[in-house]
Amino acid sequence: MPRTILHIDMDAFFASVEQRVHPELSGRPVAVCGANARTVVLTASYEARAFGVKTGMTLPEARALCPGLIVVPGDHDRYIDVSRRLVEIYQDYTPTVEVFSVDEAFLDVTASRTLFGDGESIAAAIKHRVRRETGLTASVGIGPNKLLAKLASGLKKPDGLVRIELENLPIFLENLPVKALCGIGPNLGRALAEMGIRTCGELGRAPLERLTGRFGIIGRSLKAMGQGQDDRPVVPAEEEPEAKSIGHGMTLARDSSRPEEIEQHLLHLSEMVGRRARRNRLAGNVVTLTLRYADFQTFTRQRRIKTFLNDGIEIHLEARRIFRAVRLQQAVRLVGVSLSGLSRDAGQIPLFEADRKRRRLIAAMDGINDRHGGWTVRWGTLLTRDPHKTVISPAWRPKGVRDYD
Amino acid sequence: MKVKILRGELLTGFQRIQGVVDKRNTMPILSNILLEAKADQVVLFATDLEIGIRGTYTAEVLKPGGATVSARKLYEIIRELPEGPVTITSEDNHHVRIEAGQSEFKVLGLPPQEFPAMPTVESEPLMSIDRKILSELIRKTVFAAGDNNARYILNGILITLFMKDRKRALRFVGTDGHRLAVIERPLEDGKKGGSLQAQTDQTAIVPKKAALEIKRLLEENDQEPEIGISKNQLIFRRGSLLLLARLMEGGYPNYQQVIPKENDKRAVVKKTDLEGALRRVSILSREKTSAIKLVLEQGAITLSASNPDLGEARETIAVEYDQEAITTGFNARYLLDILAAVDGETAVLEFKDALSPCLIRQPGDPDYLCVIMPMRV
Repeated sequence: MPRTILHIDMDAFFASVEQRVHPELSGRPVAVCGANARTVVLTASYEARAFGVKTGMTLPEARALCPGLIVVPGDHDRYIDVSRRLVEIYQDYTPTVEVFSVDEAFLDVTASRTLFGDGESIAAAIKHRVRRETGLTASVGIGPNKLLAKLASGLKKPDGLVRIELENLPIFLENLPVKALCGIGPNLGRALAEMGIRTCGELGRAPLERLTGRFGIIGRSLKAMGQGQDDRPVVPAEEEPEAKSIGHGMTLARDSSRPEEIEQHLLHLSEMVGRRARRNRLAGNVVTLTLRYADFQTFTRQRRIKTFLNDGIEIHLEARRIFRAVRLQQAVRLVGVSLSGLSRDAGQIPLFEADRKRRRLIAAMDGINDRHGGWTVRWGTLLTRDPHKTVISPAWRPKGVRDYD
Repeated sequence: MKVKILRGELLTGFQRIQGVVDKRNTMPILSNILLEAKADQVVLFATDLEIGIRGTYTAEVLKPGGATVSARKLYEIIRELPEGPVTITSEDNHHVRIEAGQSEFKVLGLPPQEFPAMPTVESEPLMSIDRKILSELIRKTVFAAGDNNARYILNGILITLFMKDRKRALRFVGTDGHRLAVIERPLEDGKKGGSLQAQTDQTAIVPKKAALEIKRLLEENDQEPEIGISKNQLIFRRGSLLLLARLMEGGYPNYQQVIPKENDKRAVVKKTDLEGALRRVSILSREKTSAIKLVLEQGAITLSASNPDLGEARETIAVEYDQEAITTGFNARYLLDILAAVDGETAVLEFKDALSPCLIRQPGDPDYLCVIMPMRV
């Protein structure tokens, strides 16, 4: 039986939420950015997009295009709150909801059709409830699989509802650029173009051996994608495999070459990583440091350690060791710390009483922060810092390891 | 420089220094070896600035001088050469020519004067030490020391020279914060020299890597070595072979505090039984952490492991034990390391309770003990 998959993509999500909360912003060009003035545009409202403002632009770039642009710092907690409410709405129609990012979700409604009618009826009902309950609009794509549903939701934005039918699929795909497919990014797109493959039609007809010869095992899925085939299931959050890493990054308020300043950021990030690991009862044995220089050149290096960590200070020590071995090439714009090689917290008890005491201290701090909000108690070194407000990671999920404060 | 040297001599010299040649490539010259020819010998020296190894080898020196080339490449070349004499000549632009039989190599080098200076042994007195004792001291503690631990000092071995029953003795300690090994051995009397005149304990923290290098050198032959500790380095000498290691600076944790004093539940187990069971059961433990559950009852130890992705394993072995049951958990790898270090057929395990450190001893040897902290399983 062919499946019916919906892809729901909120229209200019962060900007729309802000316009909804601050009615004076509605109808005006709004860009939501990170908490400090130097981050990039996270989302632009449709009014701003009309001027050419796009996600990822720096603020000066965006202002140059749209002089009347209203810049709003992102309110992370609010978006997460709205996102949770959206997921609750979706779950009234099917239990099979895969949260793809804070503003996107896949729904498998195959089994719901006997209850709520066909894909279009369900999509229309969800759009209606989303508008009524949150005041926001969504674009919904309907397809026989995730690939086509996602493609469909992008065809008519905002407030769209598009169904891609299997019957006229070959004609539709024939001249569609491969880069329109979710999963084919600029690098893959370039590599395909070098092979003379630019459209989905060409990709679907390409000899399998040619694709596997160039791309290995993914060659097979690429060919299938070119033909509009995709058998990946919609995976509800509870069934999602465990995250492979826990990481945080932040763009500095201004570029810095001062090691002590950067190390303080590293401590802050390490603490966030440690807390998230502990909350999910995980520990990791690989620490990765990311530095992005003023010219956007990015450097990453990792260290594998013998033991499993989830203490922010220990993570910081490892990140700092990497950092101290690096000769800074230019001022640093962004720093990131992540923990991978994750395993269930091993439960190894430290031998030295001082270390055990630290464990208890951390547990007590986590307890207080769980009850009274993150960063209520923190290390003195971090006291001078603003309460944390960062960009939401695209990998954000309402539950589990990616849920952080 | 031009020397003629037997391939066997050269090979020994190069094997000895491979471990200290710098692989991180922070300073390119540190991946080189320094050759110096004078009188009737060639001196080979390599260092990573933490540890330096210097040896002298008999050679026919045709022209004194020095050269420095990639230690790795030259070693590979020497290994493949047939037995017989090898001629090494330094040429223009620091090139080095190696000739043996019909083979000829020209290897790029660097100016020898840029190589870090060979350290000199200060006038510190060295003391003779029994080769087997030194080797045992290292073998029984080095496994417990940290590997690249963020707490830098735990990557070292704490060495203490002290007086015990009016005799000089050495104590070695290794710990990584999860397990600990402590051993004491008296030094034979009547041996010459000694920097310690019994007044105060003398301590030094030696990098784990240096301890491992020394252990390797000790396994080469049965010539007796000498060791000494100066203000900032450990000196190991055997004939003309010299190893110098920079001492680590920092406070070593108070290890005495963590040696349990009231572990009154004593179990005696056959080492091979426990080792075999640990190896088998840990196959199905969570792959990364090697956590196993250990239930100690009268007459039996039951080990078990479970992994939600793989399954479960269980094994029971016999033990001499007649006290109340204890259920605890350990990192199987840590236990195996300790059992490998303990000599003899049996090991003694002393417990207090499930979450307190466990003491492991070698029967009949009150001067060697290991401590391992349990896991919550």
